[in-house]
Amino acid sequence: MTTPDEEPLLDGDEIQGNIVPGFLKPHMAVLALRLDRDHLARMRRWCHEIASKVTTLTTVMRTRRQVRALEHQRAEAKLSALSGQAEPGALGLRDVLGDVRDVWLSVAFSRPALQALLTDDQRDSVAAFTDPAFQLGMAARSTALGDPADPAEQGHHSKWAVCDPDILLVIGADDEGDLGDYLDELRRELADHGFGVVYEELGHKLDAVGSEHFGFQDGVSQPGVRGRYGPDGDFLTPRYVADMAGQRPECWLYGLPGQYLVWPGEFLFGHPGQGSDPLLRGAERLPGPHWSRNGSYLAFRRLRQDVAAFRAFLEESARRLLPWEVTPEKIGADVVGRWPSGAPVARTPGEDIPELGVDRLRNDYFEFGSDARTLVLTDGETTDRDHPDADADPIGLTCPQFAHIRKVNSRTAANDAGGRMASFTRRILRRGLPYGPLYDQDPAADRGLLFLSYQTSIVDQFEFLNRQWMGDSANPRSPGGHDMLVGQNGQPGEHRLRQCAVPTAGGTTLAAPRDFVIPAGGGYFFTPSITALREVLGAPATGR
Amino acid sequence: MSGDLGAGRRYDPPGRLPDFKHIEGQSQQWSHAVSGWFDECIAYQEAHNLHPGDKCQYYNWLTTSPPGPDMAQTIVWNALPNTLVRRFGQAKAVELADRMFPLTERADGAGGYFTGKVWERTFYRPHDEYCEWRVIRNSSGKITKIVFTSEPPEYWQALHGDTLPGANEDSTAKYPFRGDRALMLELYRTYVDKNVQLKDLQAQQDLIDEATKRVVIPAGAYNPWNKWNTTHGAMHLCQPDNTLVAEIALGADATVLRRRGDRPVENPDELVCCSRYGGPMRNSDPTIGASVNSLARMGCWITLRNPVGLYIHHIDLAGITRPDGTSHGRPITPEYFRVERGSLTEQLIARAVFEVPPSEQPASGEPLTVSDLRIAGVPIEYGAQLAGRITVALTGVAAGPGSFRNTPVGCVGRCCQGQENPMFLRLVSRDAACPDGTRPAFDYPGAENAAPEARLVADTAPRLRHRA
Repeated sequence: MTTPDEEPLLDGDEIQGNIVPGFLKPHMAVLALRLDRDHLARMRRWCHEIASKVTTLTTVMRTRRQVRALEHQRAEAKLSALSGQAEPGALGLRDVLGDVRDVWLSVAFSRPALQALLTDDQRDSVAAFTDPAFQLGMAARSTALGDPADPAEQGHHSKWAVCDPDILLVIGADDEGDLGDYLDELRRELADHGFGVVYEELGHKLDAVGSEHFGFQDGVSQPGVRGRYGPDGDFLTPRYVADMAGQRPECWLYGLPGQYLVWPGEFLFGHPGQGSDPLLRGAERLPGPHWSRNGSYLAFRRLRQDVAAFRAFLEESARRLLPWEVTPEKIGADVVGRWPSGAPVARTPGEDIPELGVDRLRNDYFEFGSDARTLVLTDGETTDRDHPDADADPIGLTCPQFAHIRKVNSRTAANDAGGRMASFTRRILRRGLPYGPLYDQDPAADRGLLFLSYQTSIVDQFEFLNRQWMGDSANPRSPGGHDMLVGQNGQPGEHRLRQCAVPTAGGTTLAAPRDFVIPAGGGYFFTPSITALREVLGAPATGR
Repeated sequence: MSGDLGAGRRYDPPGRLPDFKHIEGQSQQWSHAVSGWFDECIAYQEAHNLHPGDKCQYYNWLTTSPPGPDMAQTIVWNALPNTLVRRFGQAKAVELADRMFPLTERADGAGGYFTGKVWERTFYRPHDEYCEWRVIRNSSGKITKIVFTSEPPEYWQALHGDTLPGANEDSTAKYPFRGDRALMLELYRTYVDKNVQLKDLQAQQDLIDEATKRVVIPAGAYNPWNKWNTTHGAMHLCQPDNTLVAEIALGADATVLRRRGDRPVENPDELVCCSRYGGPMRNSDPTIGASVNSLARMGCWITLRNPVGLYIHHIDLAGITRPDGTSHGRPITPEYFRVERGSLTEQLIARAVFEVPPSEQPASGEPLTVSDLRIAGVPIEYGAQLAGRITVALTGVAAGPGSFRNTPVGCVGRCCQGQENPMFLRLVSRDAACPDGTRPAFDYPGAENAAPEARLVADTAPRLRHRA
């Protein structure tokens, strides 16, 4: 009988904390830097020095334990916001965390930057990074992501605010003022070392719910990373399904109900990745040089969101579906796969249920390919405590297969990549936040998402999701259509038209002739371990 | 509900290919064969797999009309053989996938399909996702053309006028075809090479599997592994598992509900191991089987949509560029992917060619080749890179949810995971030990409280021809 293999002990002082467990702070700054290739010695020195300031897994976990302990209050704050009792922009997270005022830093490098910074004896090791996307950069891969190929079109990489910079800094903070102070100091430091800041942007939680600009709670579904940390060897991802007869393997498969546990090698270099059986450890993955261990690829996308166009699409679609009495709100929920609160359409197809949306023990528990078995949780409650568990929905009659959350995670439903494996091997760790003001506060302003994801293969994870699933009308499962939320149709001859067929409206086709999410910046980076940052990139210069 | 639904219904040839129309009675013979294969597969399930007394949820569209409206589900998968990717890794897989394997060497693990000297010299494409390709290079080694096919071998055997066997090994059913060898030769000459001769396409002697002493191809019959369909060309599918009967039988197998102990088997990867209905490392079989099984668990009637076949559904050309003097190149046009047989609009593509169209060739100088193109900035070196952009599909039909409440039956197989390569899976019978270097996979509790297995396929039972 299969029992889970032991999960590896992660070196919490080596791994940057934004990879795992993620900063997940309400405020964020993204800074893109340009190397001065005439003064690399100074920059190497900065790498050496900054290593001690970069926030580690160990540091983040200290606060994360506090946050987890206050989960109940966080859910209450979200509910207040959803019921209109909280002001827009109020930050429930800070309210409940009281005196926690972290400011955290992470740093990542493009391939050209690594090549420049590495000393002569190490320079060739960059070729050991096997990912062609990392080697080539995002601009070279842009049209394969579905981005416009015509330089005249919005979204073309020539129009981006930032494109393949050398270095990306991500700073997360609980307090906006603290973040500002930190940035002032950081800018001085960077100038002293000769870096040029080519781009800087702030991101913020828009409300206590964690909504993105279209108004839907974001970041509900994240894979759980297997692995242990600290002197007690605690699980990095807590387990909430009770280990009892009849609940195996579910108690071994999930962190939160519905949150598949993924072997860390899918996100961290040098660790066991996924095997065929998700309970059994896979091969250790080190698709880079020896010093890349404990690092991760970072994909950054600045995604502009056209809220007016999205809302117009929902209104127009509702008119088209008038005979079926489908509201714009329902179409929006179908497009996302969740209602604004985060409540999954798979569990509540007819209406939003805010209590379900903010209930992290239940808002991500549904399977698509099979009935969701009722589970007893570690708190003694069950997954169907307030609402029935989700039935199987293999064809998308409850939650359409074009829904964004189905396009990026088919769960137990088999898909074009074979069986269920992709539900473990195509996942990414999302760390982004919205930028720009709320639409209703300033409709003309620029707004969107500072998308960040960590993975050990840009091609097989970030790009795969964008191209093969979100950008394709048939994959991962049919019948469905394009991802009408984020997907782009880059297929030559199809004029970027995205379409989907609504099963609850007799298969009526909805069409979106323009994109609602437009790429406006980005790059591919490698996020090194602390030692690699200090000793390899920050090695004493012998050259210029 | 059952019975002859009249002369109005007929199983069409795959992709509604037109060739049979020119042969008297051939279309009807094809329909009769497909219908027969369905009936055999249904009977097999009721005799060997289903709980006694349960009726098979799979139906023959020619003779059965389930209650209520039906719904079609196109089941899709990627054409790049995942078996190779999981065994050898992506980089090695794309290289290996462009080579041919002798039939004495399986691509999915140890062993071969057939034994004997003749099979060491007979080759197949290791493309087990029901879409195969052949790369054509010029004298400089540059790729000028990549031919993709999803036509089943049975179609060509029928065109040759052979008699096709039944769906399982012990079947006495025979499906004779009139055929038109001149037409077949003409098609080969049109699509493969003008030098093809009829005798090249036929077995010149009995081709015997030395291990079983079985005549695989009798002398004079059409040889699916003829040189113009293997080493010298590609007319149709030649990977031994890539058959139409396999598709029909897989659909039937997948309608059987499975359990381990008192728990249903639902996970697609576990299900393909438990049911032994196909290759567990593929994109296709686990997905086809699980998609069908999820409908079966809803109590639906299930069949395959006419025309029954496996098709190239579409190719993703986004990000494929040709040189234009700029650093990123210019996107190619849809004309680079030309459908030669089957239907582009219905997404029933049977044969297609990827090449630089004449309109894109420079007015002078060296011709532009496929090797000059890039996919997301990476030069095209292998046909497999394009295969990774192709989606293959079949379409299932489900009707009457709740019509069945069949009793789930026990597993007939299980999988073993490689220890050195944990992505590798080896499928063995339920009671067999895992081979050296592997360990049990998906061997979850649930079997702990196992009720007596309702029914198990004995090793001596006749097997559907496709079964793993």
